[in-house]
Amino acid sequence: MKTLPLTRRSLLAGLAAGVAAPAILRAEAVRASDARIVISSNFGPETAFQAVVDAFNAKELGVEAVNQFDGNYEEATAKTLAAISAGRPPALMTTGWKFGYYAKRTLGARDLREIDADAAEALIANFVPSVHPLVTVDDALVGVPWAMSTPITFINMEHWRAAGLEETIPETIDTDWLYERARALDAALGGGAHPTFRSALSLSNNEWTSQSYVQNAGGAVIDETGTVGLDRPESIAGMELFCAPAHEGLWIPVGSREQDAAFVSGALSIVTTSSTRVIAYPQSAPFEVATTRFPGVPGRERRMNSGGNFLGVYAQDAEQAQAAMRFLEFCASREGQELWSGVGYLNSSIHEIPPVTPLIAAAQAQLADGLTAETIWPGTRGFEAQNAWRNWVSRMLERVDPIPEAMARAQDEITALVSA
Amino acid sequence: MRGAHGGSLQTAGLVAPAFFAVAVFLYLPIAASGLLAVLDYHPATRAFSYAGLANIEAVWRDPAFRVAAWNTLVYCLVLVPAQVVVPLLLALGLREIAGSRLAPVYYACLFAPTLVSFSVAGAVWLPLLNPINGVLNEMLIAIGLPPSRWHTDARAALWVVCVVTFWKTFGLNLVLWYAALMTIPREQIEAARIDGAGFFRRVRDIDIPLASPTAFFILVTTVFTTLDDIVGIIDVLTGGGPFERTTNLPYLLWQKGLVFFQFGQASVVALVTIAIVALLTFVQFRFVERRVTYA
Amino acid sequence: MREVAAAERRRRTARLLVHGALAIASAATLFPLVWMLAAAFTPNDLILARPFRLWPEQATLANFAAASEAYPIWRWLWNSLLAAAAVTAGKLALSLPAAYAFARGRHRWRDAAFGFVIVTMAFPTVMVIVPTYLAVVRLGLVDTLPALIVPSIPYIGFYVFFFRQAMKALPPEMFEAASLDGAGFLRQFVDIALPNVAHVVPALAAFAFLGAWNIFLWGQLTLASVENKTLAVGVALFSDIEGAQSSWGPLMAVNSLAILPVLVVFLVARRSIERAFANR
Repeated sequence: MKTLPLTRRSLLAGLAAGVAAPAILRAEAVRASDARIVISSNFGPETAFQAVVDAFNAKELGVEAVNQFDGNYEEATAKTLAAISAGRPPALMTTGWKFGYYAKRTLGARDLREIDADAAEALIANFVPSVHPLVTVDDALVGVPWAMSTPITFINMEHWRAAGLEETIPETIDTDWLYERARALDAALGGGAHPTFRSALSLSNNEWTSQSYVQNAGGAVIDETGTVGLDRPESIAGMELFCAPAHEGLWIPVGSREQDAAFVSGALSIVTTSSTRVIAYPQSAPFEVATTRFPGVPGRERRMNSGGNFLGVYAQDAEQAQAAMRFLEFCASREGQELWSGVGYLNSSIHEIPPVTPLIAAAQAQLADGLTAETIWPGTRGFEAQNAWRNWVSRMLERVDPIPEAMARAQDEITALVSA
Repeated sequence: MRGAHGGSLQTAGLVAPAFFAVAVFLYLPIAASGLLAVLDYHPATRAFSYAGLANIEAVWRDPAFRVAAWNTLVYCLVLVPAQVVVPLLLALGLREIAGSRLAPVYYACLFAPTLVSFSVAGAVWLPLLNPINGVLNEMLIAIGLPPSRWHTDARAALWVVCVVTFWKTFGLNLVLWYAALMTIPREQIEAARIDGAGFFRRVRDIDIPLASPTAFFILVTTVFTTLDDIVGIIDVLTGGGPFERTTNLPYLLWQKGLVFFQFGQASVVALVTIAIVALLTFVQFRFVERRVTYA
Repeated sequence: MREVAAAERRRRTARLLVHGALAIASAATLFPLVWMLAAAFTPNDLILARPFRLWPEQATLANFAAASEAYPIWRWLWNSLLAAAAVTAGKLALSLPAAYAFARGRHRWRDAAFGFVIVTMAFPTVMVIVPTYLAVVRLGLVDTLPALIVPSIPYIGFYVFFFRQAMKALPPEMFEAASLDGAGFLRQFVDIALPNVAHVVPALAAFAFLGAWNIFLWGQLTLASVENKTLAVGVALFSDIEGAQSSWGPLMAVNSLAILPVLVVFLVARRSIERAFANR
């Protein structure tokens, strides 16, 4: 299998051959009546998402889609909230599963069935049934579940070999295995022994991989009944395991941009982060990258979580909402899904899409094992609840307070926010 | 004599646009904050409801608010003296070598960061500060020093914000000090020098008194620009983190208001900030202006 | 005689030390910007390979091309120029007449009004951001340049204070003579006050321009569409959620582009700044 080199330019060149001639003839007539829809997205103009938008526009269905890159989930959600309170919601927005309730209850994401019941049923039928619950909030279908990821482990094989570690990486690993190898890497390459090595491990300092640890240890951030479960002994054990490498000096907790930059420039040996990096890392890194599952907790059953985003409709205007549905239909189609797979998400549709890179096998295996949802922050103040949990994760990594105490206080603070 | 001055109507007419601009855009929003502080906002419906004292209570109980209030003080105590004294020393140095062909070069280099926007400052500093393999750490390692975690280290982050804010803004005061110092007659300084007055005595007895209107102005404006400037740096560098360790009141206001859309709580923070600013202004005019010698 | 020579030697040593200190301070201050410029002209895939550089290897303009292909950076440049020029013009138009009236006019509320206006110097800009944002929203002005420009103008406290001082410092005889020649209060503003403070106007205009050029938080809030952004706001778009493909090169190219116009403004206003802030 080969990596699909999917850039905006190669795509447009390919499309040009097929659609240019008829398009030019029809262009004039269609332009005038085009509905223009703005999509607030988390993807810039060089991404496969832009390719989806461009391909949709090239079809000239009387709808012109505009990709408005608004930053990461948090930034884009805040901007969309601003736009909504300004009475100018974007027609569509991509946002994390984790903000599903927030999208519905605070941002007022539309129920697709209410816009067009038949079209909505046809749309959702393109996706495997197991992801339908992710976009079902308060009995409403709030979007298209088109992007699924899960945290996996990325390894810099150049470091790995330089430290004399095994050539074949097991398909399933646990924290004992991982931390032991991190120590070996640190001992072999640290202290200036390797020109670019600076740190062995980075587990991602955020709400997501910490949730994986909590769940793999048998605990829960928020369980199926909506109860915050941070004060349970299993959750505390999970966080102790999560923080251990940071306390031991194997992990320097940083933000995701710094983590990515450090990994691709050969300063970090092991990173656990979103499976979507299977596209970006090999593109930027001058060394071989290997992937495997996220580390499990020894002696516990693995219970990994998914992540990703959905496309929801926020337009209140009927014409805009209908136009948004046309775009969603394209996204759900085989053609749309094939282009979209270039971002590096797992295929959640019923279409057969060839894997974009062999590196994604680890994520697919994790999907086959069964994934829970990532924490979907309930309540109208879910956004703040996530922020609170992120702060607590940071505090524990920094050893500001003992982990059991921090978890008890996090429990109280988050319970108050999610019940708002 | 009478004709040289404006009549009541003409005076009012010329002042009116400025007066109303300030009243509408700066005072009215403060009054509105007082109202918003007792309301709850619901973004999806764009409606308000009465909240009573709930917002005030929520802010008061918020640990981030206490950290922010404390940090506001710390930032002022660190940055205001630094922003006043360091540019003065640099300006004195520049005057010392005035006439040298290198003087304008130093001047330009020192002023350059003042020109960049906060977003640019953040984009430039973040890769320098990367705790794993950023440029600064690579330099430290190269000369055999231990690397730092900079803005991601809970103990160091506040200082990193101070340094970057200082870097981005000290040029303004440098320009002000330098312009003021250059107008002090050379003979007066030379005379003091011949009388055997050392460097610090000359600065204290001649430069500061003769530049005191500028000195007062710098002191007053620095307090306020510092409050404001830090917000931009916090936003691009730390977002208030790690875990609210670098936040201050204006940043908390921004975050509560326009990230979380808790307009009521944000307005409470705004009112507290106003109270602090008013107090600072009073103190400054009361205790500092008296000591200014107007030339 | 020997004492004089010793003093001369001491002074030369002192000057040398001052040079040393200023050179170090200048180098440290400029370093991040030099690094930025070097990165702006270095091919993107080489930037992360070696963190430390003061000079671009294989110098290229490709980053500027890549940046302008990804985003309408020239449009942003135009928006920035427009916004900064409008804010500057607005501040001068409000503050010059007001300062003149505060300096020369007569009204029993004059000094109270002066205090009312200049106290706003102390207002942090975020303090009024929530109500102003709500107002902009109600007026339907979100995502327009006027929403960025108009609320940024009334921060004129310093300008009024400064111009009033400058006008008060003018000899009263000038105004009296004009008055005897039949020039009224407004005529005197145009014929006497304005020309005599004209030399310091560029200094304040430069600071107003710089302030408006760099408006960041308020711009992030009010400018949503890609084509409506200014450079200071648009720069944020160069980091992506799946961020490992970070375009450091194009980012640094846009950063460099964002500094150029204000640099020109300050070079032009340099003499005026020195005169404006000399002790009066």
